[in-house]
Amino acid sequence: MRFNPENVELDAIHSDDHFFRITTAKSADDLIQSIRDIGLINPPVLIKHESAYIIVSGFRRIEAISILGEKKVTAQVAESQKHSLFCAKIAISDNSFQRPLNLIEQARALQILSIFYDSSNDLVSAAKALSLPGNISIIEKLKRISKLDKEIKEYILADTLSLSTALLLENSKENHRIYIARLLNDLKLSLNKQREMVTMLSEISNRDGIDVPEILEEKSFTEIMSNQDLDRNQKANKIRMLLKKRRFPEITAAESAFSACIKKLDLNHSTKLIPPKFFEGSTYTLNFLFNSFKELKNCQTKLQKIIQHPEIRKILD
Amino acid sequence: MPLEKIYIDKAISDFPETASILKRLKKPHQIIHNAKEVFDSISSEDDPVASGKNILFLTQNKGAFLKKCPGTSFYTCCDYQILHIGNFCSMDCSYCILQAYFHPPVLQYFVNYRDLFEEIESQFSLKKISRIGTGEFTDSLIWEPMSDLTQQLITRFSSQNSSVLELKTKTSAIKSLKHLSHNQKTIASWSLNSEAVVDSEERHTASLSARLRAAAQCESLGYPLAFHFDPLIIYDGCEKDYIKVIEKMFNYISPESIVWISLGSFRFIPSLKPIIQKRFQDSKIIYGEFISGLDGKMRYFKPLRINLFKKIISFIREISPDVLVYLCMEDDEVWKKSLGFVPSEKGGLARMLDESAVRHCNLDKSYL
Repeated sequence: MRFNPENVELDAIHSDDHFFRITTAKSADDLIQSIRDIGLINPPVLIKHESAYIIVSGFRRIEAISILGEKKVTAQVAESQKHSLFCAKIAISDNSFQRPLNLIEQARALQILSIFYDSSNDLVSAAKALSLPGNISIIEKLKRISKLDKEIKEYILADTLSLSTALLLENSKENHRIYIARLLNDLKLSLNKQREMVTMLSEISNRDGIDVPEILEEKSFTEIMSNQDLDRNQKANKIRMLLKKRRFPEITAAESAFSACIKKLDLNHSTKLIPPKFFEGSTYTLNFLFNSFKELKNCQTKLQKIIQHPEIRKILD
Repeated sequence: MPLEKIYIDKAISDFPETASILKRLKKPHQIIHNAKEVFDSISSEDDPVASGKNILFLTQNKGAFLKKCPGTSFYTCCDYQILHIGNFCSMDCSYCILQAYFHPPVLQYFVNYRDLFEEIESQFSLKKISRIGTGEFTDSLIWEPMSDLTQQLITRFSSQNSSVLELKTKTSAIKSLKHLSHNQKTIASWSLNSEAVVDSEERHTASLSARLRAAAQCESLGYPLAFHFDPLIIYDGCEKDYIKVIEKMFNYISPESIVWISLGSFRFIPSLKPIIQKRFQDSKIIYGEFISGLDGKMRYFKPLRINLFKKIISFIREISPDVLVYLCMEDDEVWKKSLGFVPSEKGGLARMLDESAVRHCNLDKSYL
C-alpha cells in the first residue's frame, strides 16, 4: 500500500464517516493548543474515495485543524478500498501503540477487526499483533459491549457501570436497558449491587410481564428517587429493598418476621442469634460476646431467658 | 427421534447391536476414531443443546453401567441405582438438568450390552433388594424405535427376585412392553406434571393424557406402576392444577398398582439458568423464589416447598391413604411438615421403597 503526502482541502474530507474511529475522546481542545504551538507532528491518514476523503486515523487532529481555522491539512493519503483490513489495522495501531485504550476503544477496535476475520484463531492473532486483548472470551465480551447503546458505553467509561453489569443488561429487553443503566448511573452502586439490581429488575419484568420503565415509574420508586432528604446511598438501599421485596416476597416476609421475633427476644449488642442461611438448613447459631467471668455468668442468665421466651419456640418450631 | 446423523465409535462399529440399530434407523452414519470429533462439532454450534438432540453417537460405556444415584448428604436420597444405558434426551424440557450436565450434551447410546448384563448379573448375585432405573441420564423409552434393550432387560429381570427395574419416561412408547413376560419385576413409571407445565415447558413429550393412557395399558398388562411429580413448579394456580393431575391419574389408575409416587420440587444447578433464559425465552420457571440450597443447587424457599407438598400429599391421601408417597431430595424438616414423619422412623427411605417393591413386585422378602 502506498501513501502519498497530500495537502487536502478540509471540505473534501467526510468527517462524518466514523467507521475507523477508535478514540472515545470527544473534545480536541488539548490538541488545538499543541498544534497552535508546535504544528501538526503526525499527519492524519486518509483514503481517497471517489472524489472525497475518508479518515482512517486522526479524527481529532482534523477537528483541531478545522477549529484553528485552517482550510487544508497535510495528510498521508492511501489508495485503498473504502473499508479495508489494511486501513482498519492502521486506525487501530495508530491508537493502540500510542496509549492504553479504554474498554470502549478496545471494543470498537475489536468490532472493526472482527468484520475481516471469520476464524476466531485468526482474530485472536490479529488482535494480539495490534496490542489488543488476545483472549477469545474477553474479545467476545468486548464485541458485545461495542453493540450496546452509546449512552450505556458512556456510563462504562465514567465507571458508573461495570463491564459485567453491562453484559448482564443483555438479558433485559433492548428498549429496557437504557432505563436500568440510567438508574445504576444515578445510584453509583458497587459491582455486586449493580448485578443484583439488574437481575431483579429484569426478572420482575419477565415474570410479571411488565416493562422495566413501567416499574421504575411506579410511585414507590419515583418517591424514593425524588426524595431530597435521602442521600444516594439511602436511595440505593431503599430501591434495593423495594426490588427484593417484590422479587422475593416470601423470603423477605420471613426475614422480617424473624427480625420481629429477635426484637421481642430483646437481645443486646453482645448476643446474636443467626438463622440458617436462607432458612434452608436447621442449624441456628447463638453468639455471646464476653470479656470477663462476670460477663460470662451474665450470658448464662441471658441464655436462660432466651430459652424460656415464647418467641424462641416460635422461631425453632 | 428426528436424527440428522449417526456417529459410530470405531470400537463398536462391528458389534451386532450397532448393526441392528443402524438397520432400524436407516440414517446416514459415519465411523469415527475419536469422540472429540463429535463433541467439537456440537460445541461449535450456536445452540449445542438443540444440536446434540439431532445427532446420535453410538459408543460403549467404558465406565460402570450401574451407578449410585448422585444424592447428597444434606438431603434424603432414595438410594436407587442408575443403569447407565445412554445420555441425553430427544425431548426438550426447559428445566432439564441434562442441558447443563453434559459438556456438550449429545445423544449417546451404549451398545456394549454384554458388559451391561454382566454387571446386572453381579448385582442379582448379591441377593439383596435393589431398585435399578434407566431414566436418570436419559428417558428410559426414547430409544425404543432403535433398540430392543428394554425387552432384553424386562425379560432378564423377570427371572430373578431381588431387583426391580424402573423405566421412567415422558413418552407413551410402550409397544415393546406388551407381550412380554415381566413377572412384575419391571415398574413402568411416568413423570407427570400439570397440563400447563407440560404445554409450556415440556417440548416434544407425550401429553398428560397420553402418558396416563399408556400407564393404564401397562396396568392392564400387569406391570407395577410409579409416578414422579418432579419437578413441581410453583406458579399462580399450581396447586389446583396439580390436584387435577392427581384426580386424572386416579381416574386412569388404581392405587393398588402404584408402587410409589415421588414428589420433587424444581431445583437446578446455577449454570442451567442462563441456558433456560437463552433456549426458553418465554419460560418463567426460573423466576420463582429460589434460594441456594445446602447442596449448591437452587431450590424453592423451604416454606413454599412444604406448602405445595402438603397440599398435594393431602389430596393423594384423600383418594389413596396407603400409597407410598416420598419426597425426592428433601430434609427431615420438610418430611415432617409435609408427610408427618421422617424417614428414619420407618427404617429410612431406602427401606420404605424396598419394602414397597417387595410387596408390589413379589421380590423375595428375605433379601430385605
